[in-house]
Amino acid sequence: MKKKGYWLATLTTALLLASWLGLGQNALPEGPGRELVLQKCQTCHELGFVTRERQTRERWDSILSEMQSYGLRLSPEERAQILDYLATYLAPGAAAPAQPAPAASAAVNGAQVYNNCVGCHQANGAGIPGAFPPLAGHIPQVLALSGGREWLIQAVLFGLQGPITVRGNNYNGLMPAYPQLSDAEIAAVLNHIATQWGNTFPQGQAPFTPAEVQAQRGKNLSTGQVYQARQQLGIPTR
Amino acid sequence: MEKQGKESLLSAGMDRRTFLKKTAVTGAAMGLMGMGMAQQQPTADQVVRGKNAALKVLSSRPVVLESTLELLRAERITSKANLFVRNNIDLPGFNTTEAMMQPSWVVEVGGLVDPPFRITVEELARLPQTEVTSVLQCSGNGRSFFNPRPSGNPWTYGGIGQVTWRGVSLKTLLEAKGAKLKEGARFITMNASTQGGAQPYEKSYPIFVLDTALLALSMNGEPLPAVHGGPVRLVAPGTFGTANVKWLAKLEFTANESPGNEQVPRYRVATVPGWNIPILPTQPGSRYNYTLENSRSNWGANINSFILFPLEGQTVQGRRVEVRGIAWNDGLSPIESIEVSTNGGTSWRRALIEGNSGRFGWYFWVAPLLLSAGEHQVMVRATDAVGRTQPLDGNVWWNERGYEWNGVMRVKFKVT
Ligand code: HEC
Ligand code: HEC
Repeated sequence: MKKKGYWLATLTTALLLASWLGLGQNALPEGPGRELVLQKCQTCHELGFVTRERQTRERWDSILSEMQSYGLRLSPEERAQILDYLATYLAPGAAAPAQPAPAASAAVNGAQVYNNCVGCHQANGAGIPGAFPPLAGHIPQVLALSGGREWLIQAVLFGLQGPITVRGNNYNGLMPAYPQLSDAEIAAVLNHIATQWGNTFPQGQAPFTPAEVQAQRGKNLSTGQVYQARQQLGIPTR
Repeated sequence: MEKQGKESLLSAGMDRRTFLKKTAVTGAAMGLMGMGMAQQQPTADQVVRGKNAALKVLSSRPVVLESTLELLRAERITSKANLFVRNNIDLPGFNTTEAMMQPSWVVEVGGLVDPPFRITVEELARLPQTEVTSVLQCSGNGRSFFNPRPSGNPWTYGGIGQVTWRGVSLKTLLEAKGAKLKEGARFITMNASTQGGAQPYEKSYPIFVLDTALLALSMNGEPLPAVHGGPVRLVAPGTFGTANVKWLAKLEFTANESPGNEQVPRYRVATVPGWNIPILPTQPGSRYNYTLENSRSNWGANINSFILFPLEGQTVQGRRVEVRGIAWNDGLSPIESIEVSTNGGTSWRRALIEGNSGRFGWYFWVAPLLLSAGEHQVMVRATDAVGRTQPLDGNVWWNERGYEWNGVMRVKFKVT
């Protein structure tokens, strides 16, 4: 009798585990509130912290309170919307969304790849002064410099760390590395940030190509090396 | 928002909460986001230089890498390439297995100690060194086996390794500095460095670990890899990894346990103070409001054992099959018996303990079995001299945040 109980428990654990492992860890299902989660939940940690969970409303509620105690700022409306989203789409047993088609075969959309960046650099590209530098009005400043194109690729591929000044504000944060994005995705997101919010490519510059990204990938730089390379460029501080 | 930008976050000397508040500022109006999103995980060697790409990336930011039983069983001492990583906070520039040579790195020692002092890594390296082999394990190791699955990193078995540390024991350090503890020093509270804008990480140990804790400068005979805490890490053998603070900047003797987030509500299990039970059983799936009074920190590692040969799903040659594995505890009492069962726990037979790696390390064991061809399941359980053992169903100690799993491991394999 007792033994059966153990077996049952083990079996259900094994089944749950198997079904959990089969889930896409890093996919956020479509639904109202999804954009808010993208915006609010990837500044302090990667989004996988959220997408991998399957929790009850009650538990999500207390997770949100804990995040707020760490410094997450939400209006009551935003909180309610996020809680509804999490409790609906990341509930126990909720299925993972269909895996997006492999980047190589599908046309890559820069706006979609920018979902990785939006939590920090914001939807309007303005960043957060003092914490995350603006890309709006700034990317053309980098593109205009000799070596600026290559360096932008490096910053996204390998990350960046060190004190910098962008458009009059100081930053000393950590830009995460994105080696996991494909060459096509990195080219697409760079083309996106180079042409949004009034940004444009300098006269005569063509959009980024996957081949250009591939050429930088092999360098395998550290965030510190990307920082040193930045200092050589002479990016304007205003 | 504009105003905040005028001052440097670092020079403003903000505490963690303020910093986080500022970084999480409500953004401007939201644009319309894209639809599907591909957030692929990078590989372990992309996240941390020098790591084996076979480690599983549980998170790239902060870095959480899980080792595997395949990798663990291939080495007696876990190499730096194969050792798991559980960062709570990444120290910028430290995501590498290379050493971080900063001889002028300072550890501040203060609080209830007379006199307080500062010591550089260079000075530490000149003091008498102590060596210890110990098990390093995340207290969340095994979390995935709890049902329902608690929130947090979905560890299976790989949040563990055994390494050899070398450094200056706290006792040696205090003696060398002629420093004496003041009355009322009941805890050791440590802070990791915040260099490069990293957020603070603060943990406490009971003063009890003073006898065994060391400031480690080296791991497996090389300077301590940066990602594992180099240049200096506090190591208290026999304890879970969480309070073995990396990148040690400050060590204080305190009257009380730190009330910071990493000490409460995180890294705790329910207890009744003074009551004789390791974890207060709670209804699986229920809520618990952790306070310093109604719970305890994940300090001493609980007794546990793994089967490393064969692994789940393997086919082995019969009839004589050598089942092998490891067992460990907090080092306070020797492990006396390691038993295996091939009939679901109806009967058990003792495995042979082949040797250990000191009281804080792994005990290696082997159980030669005669098995007929077909499917088998083997279970293992360790018991120490004071009778501490493992539950057949680890879920009896289900806790909201999924810590300290030590349920009996079961491995299914085939004999041909
Ligand atoms: C102000 C910083 C901050 C923001 C913004 C933030 N978090 Fe967190 N979150 C943390 C910290 C710190 C941890 C603990 C880190 C760790 O475990 O390594 C954490 C951990 C988590 C965990 C794991 C909890 C566990 O049991 O281990 C979940 C789930 C989570 N966050 C969800 C969210 C969601 C959902 C959002 C957006 C609504 C969010 N976070 C936004 C700081 C933040
Ligand atoms: C977790 C927050 C975060 C995310 C997510 C993030 N960034 Fe950044 N990014 C930063 C920070 C912080 C800096 C400045 C680093 C420093 O202070 O050295 C930065 C810097 C940059 C820079 C260089 C600006 C300069 O002049 O040095 C570019 C370009 C950039 N980010 C693009 C992106 C893109 C594209 C993405 C998404 C693929 C992204 N970032 C995602 C935080 C982030």
